[in-house]
Amino acid sequence: MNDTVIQTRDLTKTYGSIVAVNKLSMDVPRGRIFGLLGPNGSGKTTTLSIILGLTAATSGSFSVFENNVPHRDALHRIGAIVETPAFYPYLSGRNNLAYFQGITGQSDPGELDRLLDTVGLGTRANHKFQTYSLGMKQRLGLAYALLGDPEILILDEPTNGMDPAGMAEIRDLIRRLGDGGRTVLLSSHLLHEVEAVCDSVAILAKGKLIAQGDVSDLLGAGAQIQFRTTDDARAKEVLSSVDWIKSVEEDEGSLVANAPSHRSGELTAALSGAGVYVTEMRPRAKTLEQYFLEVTGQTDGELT
Amino acid sequence: MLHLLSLVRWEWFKLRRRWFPWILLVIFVLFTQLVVWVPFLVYRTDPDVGSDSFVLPGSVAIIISSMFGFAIVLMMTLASSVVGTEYGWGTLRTVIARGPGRWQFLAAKLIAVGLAGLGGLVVAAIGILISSIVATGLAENGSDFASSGDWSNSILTVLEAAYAVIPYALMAAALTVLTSSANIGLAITVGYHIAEQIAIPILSVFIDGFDRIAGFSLGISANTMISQGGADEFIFLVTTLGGGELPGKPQAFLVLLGYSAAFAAVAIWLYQKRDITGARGA
Repeated sequence: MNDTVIQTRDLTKTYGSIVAVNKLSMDVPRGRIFGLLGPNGSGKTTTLSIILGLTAATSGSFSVFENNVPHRDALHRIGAIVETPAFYPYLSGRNNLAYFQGITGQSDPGELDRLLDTVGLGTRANHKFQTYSLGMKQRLGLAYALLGDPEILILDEPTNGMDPAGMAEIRDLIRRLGDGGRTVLLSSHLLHEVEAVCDSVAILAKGKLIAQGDVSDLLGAGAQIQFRTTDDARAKEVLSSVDWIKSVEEDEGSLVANAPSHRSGELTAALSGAGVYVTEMRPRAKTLEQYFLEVTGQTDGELT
Repeated sequence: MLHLLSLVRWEWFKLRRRWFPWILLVIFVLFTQLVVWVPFLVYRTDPDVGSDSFVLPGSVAIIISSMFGFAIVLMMTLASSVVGTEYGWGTLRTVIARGPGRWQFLAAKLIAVGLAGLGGLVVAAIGILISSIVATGLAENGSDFASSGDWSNSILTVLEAAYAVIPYALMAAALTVLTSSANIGLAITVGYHIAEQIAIPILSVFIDGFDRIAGFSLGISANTMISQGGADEFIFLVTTLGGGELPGKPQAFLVLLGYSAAFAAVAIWLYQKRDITGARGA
């Protein structure tokens, strides 16, 4: 069995002179929660739309379940919500799900009840979709995506419009969905959401792939050492001449060296050799936000 | 084929839960009832005006024929709405992402619209039948009325009307797909329908031999298909003022089939080819 369930190669989509997706080559591993991270307009939704057969790529290729075309059978094994979920406003939540279950040739009323309860819509199942709040629409979107127990879940900004409690609940649900060996492709511009939920991530900016890999690897590669000394000014001066230390910055009364944590012993030795002594030291992993800002050169805390 | 039938079933599931088709049906039935009861009331005051509009079995054919132009507009409205609201609500993306197949989904919609149109005509015909029985019973000398037409002609007229509205519904669907908007698609379709009704009689008067070209137009063919001895005003204008002749029903049948195939092909081709985006506003 191939370990990659979705693969793109030099995938490109242009709208006139605008390049929405630029030679994107990405591998989504099987059974993982994979984050597609990037600011609005970075090409996330366009990429997902191409994978789902909603939009034609200008050039490049992609495969889902090793098929070169996202034909009907492949789509039946994918559950997806793209941007704000759109349903028939005059139908109830239950009837909307019954319709989408029916058009794929399935009929299982029990599944509808189960899914509506799973996403917390059991009591509003028979109310019309047009009466739902944005958060409830997102929940119905999740239930829709889970119809037929799909092998791949593609979720585009699934917590958009939800209150903090709802966001935490949905993140927890996504984690649980990913635990059973299902592949989840989560697109989001919320860095903390991706960091909290995803095992691996691809970072897009202006349609281009900036970085891709396991979250722990990406953050570990840029690890830092946080420490306090008897003379911080002298310590900065000493460490500035050490070639494997990229930089030393002050942060909340301590120093932070951009250096791999396994070389902390050498750092201590360098300082003690200059008569500066370390009083406290601990490794500090970067947050995904810090990593993202570093690789994209952006300065915003939350991407827009 | 089974998949397509299943999609038709689910389109019907949606269609019968919307208010809109029911409103259109009620409007059509009310107007056909008007054509039964107004002549009846006039007849009560002046028996010389005739009783054809409420005497069975001919009343069904006469009223369905006279309301055909209205039925066309209602079918255009229904087709535009059924196809166009998927763009407006953004549900097209939600549907296609589940993999029913684009052309299959559109074909199922068009079949459901066609069935709704046929159903509407049948319901209106049953309404005319019941009203005709009641009106004849209420008339003082109702039992003495000579029956007009025959039952087979009435049934045939309902089927002909259902067939002749299909290209109009498909034109509305194709233009709705082209513009990705129910409102714009409907406006262009109705605009074409009106323009054709105005232009063909005028051109038939001023251009020699235009009637032969007009015989291949949608309007002439559709009206020929259901005409009751040239009673339709549109045909009257073309044949009398323009001096032309109506095409035969076989030609009209084939011309309508050609238009239907062309509009369906355009709609499906565009549906297959276009990128699908989110909601455009209802």
